[in-house]
Amino acid sequence: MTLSSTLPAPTAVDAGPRPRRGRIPWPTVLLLAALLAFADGFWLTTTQGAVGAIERAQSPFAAWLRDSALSLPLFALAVLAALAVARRRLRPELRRPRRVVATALLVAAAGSLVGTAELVASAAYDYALQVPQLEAMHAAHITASSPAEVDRPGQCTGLCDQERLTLAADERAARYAAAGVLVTNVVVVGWGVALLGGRLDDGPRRRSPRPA
Amino acid sequence: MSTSTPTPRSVTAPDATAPAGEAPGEELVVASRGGVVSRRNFLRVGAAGGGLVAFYAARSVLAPTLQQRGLLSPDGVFGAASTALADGVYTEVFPTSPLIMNPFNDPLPIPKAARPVATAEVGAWKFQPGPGAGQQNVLSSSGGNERHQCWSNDDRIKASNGGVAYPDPIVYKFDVKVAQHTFTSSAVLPINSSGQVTRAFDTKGNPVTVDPAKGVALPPSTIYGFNGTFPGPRINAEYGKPVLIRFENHLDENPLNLDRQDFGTKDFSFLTHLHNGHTAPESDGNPHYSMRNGPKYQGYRPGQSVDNLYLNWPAGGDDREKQSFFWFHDHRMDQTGSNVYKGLVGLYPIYDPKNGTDMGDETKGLRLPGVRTDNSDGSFDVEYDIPLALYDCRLDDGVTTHHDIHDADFPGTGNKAHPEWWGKTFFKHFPNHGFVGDIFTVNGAAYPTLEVKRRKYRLRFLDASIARIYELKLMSSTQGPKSAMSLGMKDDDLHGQWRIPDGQQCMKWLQVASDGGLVPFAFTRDSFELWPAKRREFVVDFTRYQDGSPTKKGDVIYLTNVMKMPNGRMWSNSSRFSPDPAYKVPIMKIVIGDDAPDNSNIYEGKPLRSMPPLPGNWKTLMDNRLIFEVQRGSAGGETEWLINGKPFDPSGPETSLKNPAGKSPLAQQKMGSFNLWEIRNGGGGWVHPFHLHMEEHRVVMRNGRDVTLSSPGHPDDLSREDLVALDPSESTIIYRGFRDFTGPYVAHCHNLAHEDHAMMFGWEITP
Repeated sequence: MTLSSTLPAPTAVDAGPRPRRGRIPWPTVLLLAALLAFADGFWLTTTQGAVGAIERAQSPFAAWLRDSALSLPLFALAVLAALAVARRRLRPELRRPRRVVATALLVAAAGSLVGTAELVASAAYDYALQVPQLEAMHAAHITASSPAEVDRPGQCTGLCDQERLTLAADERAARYAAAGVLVTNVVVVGWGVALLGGRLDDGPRRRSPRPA
Repeated sequence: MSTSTPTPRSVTAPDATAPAGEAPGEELVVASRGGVVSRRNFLRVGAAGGGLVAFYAARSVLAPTLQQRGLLSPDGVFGAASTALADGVYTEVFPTSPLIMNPFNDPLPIPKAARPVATAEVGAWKFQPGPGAGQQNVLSSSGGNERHQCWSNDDRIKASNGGVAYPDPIVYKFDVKVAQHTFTSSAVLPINSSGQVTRAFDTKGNPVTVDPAKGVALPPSTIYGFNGTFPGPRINAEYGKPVLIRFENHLDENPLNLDRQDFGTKDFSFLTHLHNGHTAPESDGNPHYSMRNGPKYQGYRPGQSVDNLYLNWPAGGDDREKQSFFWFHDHRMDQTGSNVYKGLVGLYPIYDPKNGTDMGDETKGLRLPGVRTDNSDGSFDVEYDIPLALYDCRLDDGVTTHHDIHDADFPGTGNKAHPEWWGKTFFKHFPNHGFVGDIFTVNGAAYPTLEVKRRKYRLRFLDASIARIYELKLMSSTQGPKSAMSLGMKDDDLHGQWRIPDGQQCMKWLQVASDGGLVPFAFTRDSFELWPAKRREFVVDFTRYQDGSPTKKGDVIYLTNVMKMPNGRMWSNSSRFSPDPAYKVPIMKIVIGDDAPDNSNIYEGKPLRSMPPLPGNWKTLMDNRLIFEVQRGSAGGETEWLINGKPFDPSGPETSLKNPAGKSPLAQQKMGSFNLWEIRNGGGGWVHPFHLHMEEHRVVMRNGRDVTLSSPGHPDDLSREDLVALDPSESTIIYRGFRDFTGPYVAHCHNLAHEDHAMMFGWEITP
């Protein structure tokens, strides 16, 4: 598979010389994607441990490494998309502080979209795993002489109530974690950009030949 | 130094004059001494440095806390983060109990021995107790459906008793019924979580203004009790003399029209377990049995009764398996915690008359403290031998919302405050916090006083709490107790209500017994931990302090808890982990009285009861051991706690995790066999008091270390136990037997909020 090696050409809103088609700053993309993947993966794993299905809450450190690594391509795409939008809307050379900050925020936002989508999908999967567990537990409590006395027709009691509470916990945890993802992404992208020396495009230019 | 500290200033370098290698628009950070650092490098170095600083700061702040909670590991960090997130997800609020204004005035209740039912009276019962079919329970007007698998004249008993049968059981009858209980006679002062005086409410829920100097009277709480008392009756039992207790359910009767509030089994059923009697399944009171046999239900319902036969027969007929302090408590499936908290607790010290070894007479056998008085009906009392059941509770403040998973069980009570229940026991338990109380009681009395003679006593401790672990010391205090609120404490620091800020340890404990009965030799301790359901027995010499100086009449000593446990997860401070010198909660006041004769003879190192031998080849069992891991379920409903990834299923035995032999065997053992079981704490920052029914065990490995070779580092590894106290992420391998009876049993966490939410598994003994 060949990944496009160019980003869309910027619009001609800039007054400067017509920009050339920018190269993809792969080190930047990979660094930011890795930071986002592992930071958001932390929230994902933490949320699983807090309210998720037990099957997914074991060995959280290994799960974090695995899930974060697997989600790396998604975050790379998000970073690429954010950089593309930034180049189109701002300028191709993302070095001036305001442009860098704006681009960084775009990257954080794109990463947060992916991170939140992961959280939602994970919560849905957790709930799907939890429902059979709740049903099994409920069934285990019912014997011939012990009808499901708390299941009242027309009311959400008994199993229905437990499912409702479980779903509510999953949903609330995902909401809290999504807020955490957003804040975390702003911080880690900011840190990553600083680590890149405040630049979001490709690496250092070739040195100009020294004047004789 | 100022000359060596560069003062950066920023200069915007014109694009045209940017140094080679720097992009247009790059800023330069120029140091005052003439050096030039590019913005790029400045940011890089700053980010790297900041990252390092943040890492080390986080590590120095968090590492001690994580270490204390057993979470200083890659998985542990996630466990801690998950717990913190869960704190925000679940609504978990507890009331602040009103302050007991005048503690240490009520005498410690010391239950007298219950009296058996006269033979003639038993003879008049419609359904006679006995070994025949249908005689084990009464489920309807036509009788019962089970029989005792081993009566007192069974061949198994004869074989272990020189061919002689045990006598017919001594019969007791305890009605399980609704009653009232008052924790203190003191006035109380309603306070909030900030330690400020607030208002009380009357029984109709109307606000009552309180004079802070006088306080108000505390209303009695509604309890479910054996014979309507809390704690329930005390049976002084003896090995070789079986006891049969008919437990009869009267919980549906409420002649005083007491408000049952919103906890306690909703269908009024009960199931009684003698913890940890060597008992056949039909009398063991466990839901693995009851759901498949007998009542085929979670418990026995109103109008039903069960004859629990306690043979008082050591496992395998081996004297070394004799125990010394049982207790009986409710074990109704899913409602054990609420029923125990509501009062279904009884005491069962058991003595060993064989050769007078430990028969409650300090002139005979091991000469442990105790002066025995035999009653005409066969029962007996023992002076200077005192059971102490510790129990913590919370009393309703009238403004805290009642809300947990069980709201649906009591329609109309959930999601609102109940001012009409002000001052009565409050019980809600939550997935994240569990349950701990903020008032400490002993034998049902909050902050009582025990007057002792100047002599040695045998004190039998039991933790009858839902989840609280205690660490107990004997302390003296010159200034006496101060209320926590008067010391400016708030929130969780108000737990225990009282402090002795100047408390100093003044006596040591001489331990003589644990869960499994008398220990191999008496040993001294400064303090001891008491986990839920555990028993520990000590001899205390009230004639002298630990420095050798004599006590005097009128001297005061406080039984003091030094383990801070703000919630049901685990402690925050204890002697083992970051002790908090300010946390000294006096639980009971002990006042030295007159001299009294003392014929006991007990001293440090005195041999008591040897441990049953461990076979030399026990390691050959390692590969085929059964493995059970207790885990957080996080389902948010009734399945919050799991074992081997599964909630309790009463329909059959659990399956072990894959063992080193590559097998996942069912939890089934042949009668007469022995095996190794591994019990692991799956982590997450919780501790688990894990209880195994039916026989005592001994720990052979803890966290991968063979504790049979050298001096055990853990106090529980010195003796036989029926409860594995699992620290976070801890693993133990235990050796135990499966003798004398067949049928279904359970093992479960004795944090009762965990047990009731599926942290239990069934196992069975096969013929």
